[in-house]
Parts: sequence; C-alpha cells; structure tokens
Amino acid sequence: MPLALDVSDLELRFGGLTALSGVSLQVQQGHIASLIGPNGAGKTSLVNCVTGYYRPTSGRISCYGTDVTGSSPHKAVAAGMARTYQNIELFKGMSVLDNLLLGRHRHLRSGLISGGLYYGRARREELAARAAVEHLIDFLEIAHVRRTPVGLLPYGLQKRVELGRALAVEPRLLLLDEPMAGMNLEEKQDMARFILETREERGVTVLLIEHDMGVVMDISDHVVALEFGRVIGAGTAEQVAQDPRVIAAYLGGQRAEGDGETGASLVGAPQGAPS
Amino acid sequence: MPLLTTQTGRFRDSYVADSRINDTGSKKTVVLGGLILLFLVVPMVADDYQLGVLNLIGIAAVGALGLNILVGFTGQISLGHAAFAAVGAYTAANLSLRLGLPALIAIPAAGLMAGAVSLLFGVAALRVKGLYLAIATLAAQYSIEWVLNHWSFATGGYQATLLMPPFAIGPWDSATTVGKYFLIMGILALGVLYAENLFRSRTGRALVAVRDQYLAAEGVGINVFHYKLRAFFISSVYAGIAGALYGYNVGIVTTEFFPLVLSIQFLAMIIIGGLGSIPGSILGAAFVTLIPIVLRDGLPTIGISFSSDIEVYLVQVLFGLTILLFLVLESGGLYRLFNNVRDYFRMWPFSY
Repeated sequence: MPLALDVSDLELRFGGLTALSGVSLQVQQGHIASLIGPNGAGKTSLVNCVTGYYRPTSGRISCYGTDVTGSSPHKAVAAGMARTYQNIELFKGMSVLDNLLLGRHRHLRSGLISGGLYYGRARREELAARAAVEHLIDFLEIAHVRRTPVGLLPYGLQKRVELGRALAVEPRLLLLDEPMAGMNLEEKQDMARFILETREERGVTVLLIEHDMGVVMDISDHVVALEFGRVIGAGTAEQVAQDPRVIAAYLGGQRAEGDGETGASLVGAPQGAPS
Repeated sequence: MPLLTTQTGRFRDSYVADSRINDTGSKKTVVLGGLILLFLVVPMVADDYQLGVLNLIGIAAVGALGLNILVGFTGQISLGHAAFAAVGAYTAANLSLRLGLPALIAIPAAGLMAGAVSLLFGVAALRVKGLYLAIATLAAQYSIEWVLNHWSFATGGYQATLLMPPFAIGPWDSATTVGKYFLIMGILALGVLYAENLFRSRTGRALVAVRDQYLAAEGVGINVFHYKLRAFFISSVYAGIAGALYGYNVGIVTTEFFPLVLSIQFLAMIIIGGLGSIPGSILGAAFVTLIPIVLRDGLPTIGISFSSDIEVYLVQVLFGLTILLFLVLESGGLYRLFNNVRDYFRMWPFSY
C-alpha cells in the first residue's frame, strides 16, 4: 500500500534564502497528520511544494505512489489532492454554490461545444454535480447561505466553504493550511468535527497545519514538527510533545536545554480550552 | 401559468428548475415577447433605414459579446479584437468569392479561422497578464493589419476592397436589408444562447474562476492557461463572425473597416454595457453604435444640427465622456443601471 504522501529530502531555496532543507515526511493512508512549528518554519512552503505552487529545488514528492515533484497545481489536483489556504482564497464574488461547483470541475467533462449546447450529458452532469454539492452543503451546515456571495460571509463560514470546495474535489489527500486560525472555541470544535468525519466517512487522508496544540494533540495520528525549514521531530502526538527539541523550538532554547523533565509542556492547558 | 408575475423569492423544487436561463414566468414572457418583437414585428413595421441601423447594432453586439466573454467574464484584456474580426471578414470573402461557398458555411468558417489565428497569438500573449497582455494583443492587431495590407492574394493588397456576393435561400434574399436583418439577428440570438449556456456549465464557471482568483482556480484543477486560451478562442470566433457579417452587410471588405479604434470601441461597448453581462454587451453595442447615428441623423430632426467638422469631434467627446461617467458612477454599466431602475419599480413604494 503506497503512502498517501511521501516527501523525501526536499529542499526549497529562494535565491539565498533556504525555506526548506532536507525535509522528509511520510503520511499513511487514512491518517490525520499535523504539521506544526513556529511562524516561518516552512509549513506553508512545504504544502505549496506538495500542491505544485512552488517548485522544489531538489527532493522528491509522491502522492499515493504518483510522482508529483515540481508539477503544477492543477496536476496535483489530478493526482488526488485538494487544499485550503491560510488566507482564504475563495472566489469572493461567487455564491457558495458556485464555489462548491467549481470544486467539482475535474469530475465534469463538458467543454466548449457540449457546454454551449447544454444538452444531453452536459446538462445531466451539471444537475448531478448540483446534487453532489447539495450533499456537501448539508454536511457542512451551510444551507442557509448557499446563495450568498462568499465575500459577504463571516470569516468562520468562509473557512468552512473553503473546506467544502476542497471536499467537492473528492481528494484522496486533503491539505488544510490553518483551517482553525482566528476561530473561537465553538468554531474550532465544529471544524475538528468536520475534519474527523471527512476522514471517517470518505476515507480521506489529511495533512493539517495548525497552531492550536490542543486540537493537534486531539485529532492527529501523526505529528511532524518543523523549525527553520528542517524537521525537528516526528511521531505520535505524545512523542512529539515530549520531544525536547520541539519544546525548545516552542518555548525557547534554555528551558529545554537539559532534558525533557523540566516540566515544560506544550499542552499545559486543559485540552480544547481556548488558549 | 402566470404571465407577468412579480418574483417574490426563489421557490424552485428541482435542480432543473434552478438551472434554467429564464428562471421565472415573467422573464420567460419577456424573452418570448422580445423574440417575437425582434423576428416578427420589427421586420414588418421598420423601414429600410431603421433596419439598417439595427443591423449595425446586431453586428456590433455579436462582436461585443465575444469580447465580453474574454474581458468581462475571464478578466483578460484584448486590444486586438478588430483584427480578428478582419480575419473573419477576409475568410468569408475569400470563401464566397473564390470557392463560391454559401454564407451559411462561410460565416462559421470565418469564425473558426479567426479563432485559430487568435490561438496563434494567444499561446504567446496569454502567458503574461494585465498591461503586458494589452500590449501583446496590440501586437496582434498591428501584425494582422500588416499582413492583410501586404498579402495581396487574400486581400487584394493595400487598401483594396473585395466584393461580397449576396446569396439567397428560398424566399430569403441576403441582398435586401430585411434579409440581412434576419441573418444578423439569427446569429446574434444563437450567440446569446451559446453564451448563456456556457456560463451555466463547467467551462463558463471555470472562466469566471480564472478571472476572480486564478491561484485558487488552479487549486481546484483548472488549467488556467488552457482556459484563458479557450476564452481567447471563443471571443475571436465571435469577432470573426461579426467581421464576416459586416462584410456581407456592407458588400465589401477593406482593412480600413478594422482599425485599432474599432478594438477600442468594442472595449467601450462592454464597459458601457456592463462587464461580465450578456445583455450588457448588447446594450453597450447599441449605445456606442447609436451615438454617431443620433448625432448625425437624429438631432437634426428635432432642429439641432452641427456642422460636420464639429460633429466628428462631438462623437469622440461624448464617447469619452460616457466611458468616464460609467467608470466613475456605475461600473456595472447600462445593464446594472437597468436592473437598478427595474428593482426600484418592483419594490416601490418600499426602499427594499
């Protein structure tokens, strides 16, 4: 069984700046893997490499056994990926419906001629896509805003629509770039539930970038920590949370200098509480 | 079925109903009435002069609609639209003069040829964005003009003219003004139907996505470059058909019909009419076509007339002024204006 995502020895340089160096990570099929690390660690750069937005300087990336190194974003989608963005990149002038329908793009076939005739298969597939999208709308509980231009929606709902658009792609690997940033506790819980249900019901593998350690500890099967473009720790949530290098990266170098018994913990607060 | 009911909300009970172009009873009535007016009433009551004006509007509307698909819906600018119309006009002229092909074959062929030529430029031009794209399409305008002026086999050489032969199908004769009217309006109606269908299906949605947020469009699996090319192609097919129609309408083709100024006028039509709006393209085409006609023929009938040298400049001043006013006051164009007025009366006496 191939890995859902296999990144090996990835390096990304922008001129003299090394954003990623020697990064390797493996995500098992059906897992929820989290990518953590301080700001500027290279988490989003890594996701951008995987989804074809950045072309890595060297290294290999494969998704479900398909080599996607240095491909373009639409080819990454064809390989079975879908993603959300740190700073919501929705089609702001379009309704929620149209945004989700665009997610269905690769499942539809009509082109310049059949689309212009809107007859037969083109018409049937449009209606089928609409039905599929309505299921997602139900799942994400956004039925009341389906006609609203997404630019007018509150932030939390926009994040949810963006998740919906990624799910409409029907990916095998879903990459979520800080889906809970800036949300309140309730919204975070909703989002965590959507992510878990997505994994359970659709068997989608998830790679999650998230800063809320409570959420990461709760829902991740596997955690990878980055700092300054390098992997500084990987394993289960508990292992990573105990890792002195990870603690040092988050809490500063001196406290974790000796060993892991300084009492420092990444999850001091009760899990799920607002931090 | 209620004929003219006011829409109070969206109460559809199937996805089919929700995807209709004429989605309300009253819209259906209006569109049906419009078609009857266009194809039955107008040809009977209008005189040759009025039909001639409508023909010009119809041709401009086909071209403007094409440009709107590229600029308004896909967000890519083009200053070479007139050149692609020229390609269409010369294709149709050559096909009918040399091969004796009937117009109903020559006109679609003209569209396809213009589309094919546009792909040649599009492959290079659409790799850049914004101002750079504008200049790249300007290069298309100038190089096509140059070729047409120098390729004497196809065009008869510099500033030569070709005669476009009329044709007849049964009782319908393209040589008459009313015959041309049916040809032009028929094609315009098909062009509108095609565009309406395109933008409620996959390809049209993808084009709008490319305009709104091209990075995210890539992120849902849309090959942005390919879709830009598609938009460029369709837009030029419309342009080519408009060019061929213009040739048939006037009876001759010369490169002077398709200068850069015409490309800019097409842009003015869609800005005034409404970017990204199909009815807006037609309204804008009518508006821009009518300005000089009203100044020349309309105003004298109510006792206002200008000397011809002032009139030329007046057209340009009005032209510039209207574009400026629309850009500043109502960027949605005539169609948005129309909608606002309609909504006002629909809601009256309440404000919303």
